[in-house]
Amino acid sequence: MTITRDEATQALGEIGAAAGRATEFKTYARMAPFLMIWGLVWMVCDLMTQFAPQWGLVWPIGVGAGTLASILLGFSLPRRDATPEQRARSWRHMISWLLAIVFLICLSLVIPMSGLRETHSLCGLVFGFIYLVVGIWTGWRMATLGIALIVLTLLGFYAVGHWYPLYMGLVSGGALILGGLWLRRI
Amino acid sequence: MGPDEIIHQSLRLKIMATLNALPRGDKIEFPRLKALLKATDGNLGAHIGTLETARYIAIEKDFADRKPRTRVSLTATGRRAFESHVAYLRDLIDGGAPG
Repeated sequence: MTITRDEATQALGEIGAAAGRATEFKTYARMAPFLMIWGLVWMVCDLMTQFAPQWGLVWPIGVGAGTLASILLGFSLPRRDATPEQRARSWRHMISWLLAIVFLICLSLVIPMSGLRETHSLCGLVFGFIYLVVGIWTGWRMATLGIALIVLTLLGFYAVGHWYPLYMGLVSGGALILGGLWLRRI
Repeated sequence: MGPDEIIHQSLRLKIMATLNALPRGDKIEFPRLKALLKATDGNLGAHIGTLETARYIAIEKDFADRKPRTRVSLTATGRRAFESHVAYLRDLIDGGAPG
């Protein structure tokens, strides 16, 4: 069997494309359930904020439930027969996302925010940019989701008045849920 | 070191590249692999059979939620063969291997 240089170049190109698509699939499969969890938290908490503002604890409870669900999901992802390498990777993923949440908390401590609108928009922007950066490295769907979250958050912040929580719940929370479903379709 | 004739066929090369890109020990379900490679059932099944015969991949059949499930993974032999084949291709492009 003889292979020419052109054939070798083409074969390496095919290998690179297939490997890129596999990495994209793994990233999407890993992130999709987390996006749906947080989309649901976002939606429920925002709708409660809009229609039952007397429930002031809805956000701490919602974020706590979302964090707990994410940790449980993170633990369930590596199968029983997972290799030490797979378990270590799961841990690194979980710690990375927890650090993002801690970063947001630290940011809200040093930059005083006047209310839910500012805090909520900051969360939307930070996670939108994280998804965008992850997408640049892994695949266009993730990048698209990040851009959508950034644009929708800015639109809500500047253009939506009294109905801001309803908007963020339905549009941004909904975008996360639909985005999670979309990522699973690859 | 020469080319690996089993791996070099276009779809088998893509199958091996896909499995090699997954984290070590990961298994991928047949329909997912089919979607990633944009292959047909028959074509993918035939090439997977060839790779399994060469012991480059392992096929595991079981049931998940009472539905039959087929999962494919790369063996250690397959990973070595793939890496060796890629090294050959790179060497060829760099002018080291006869081509």
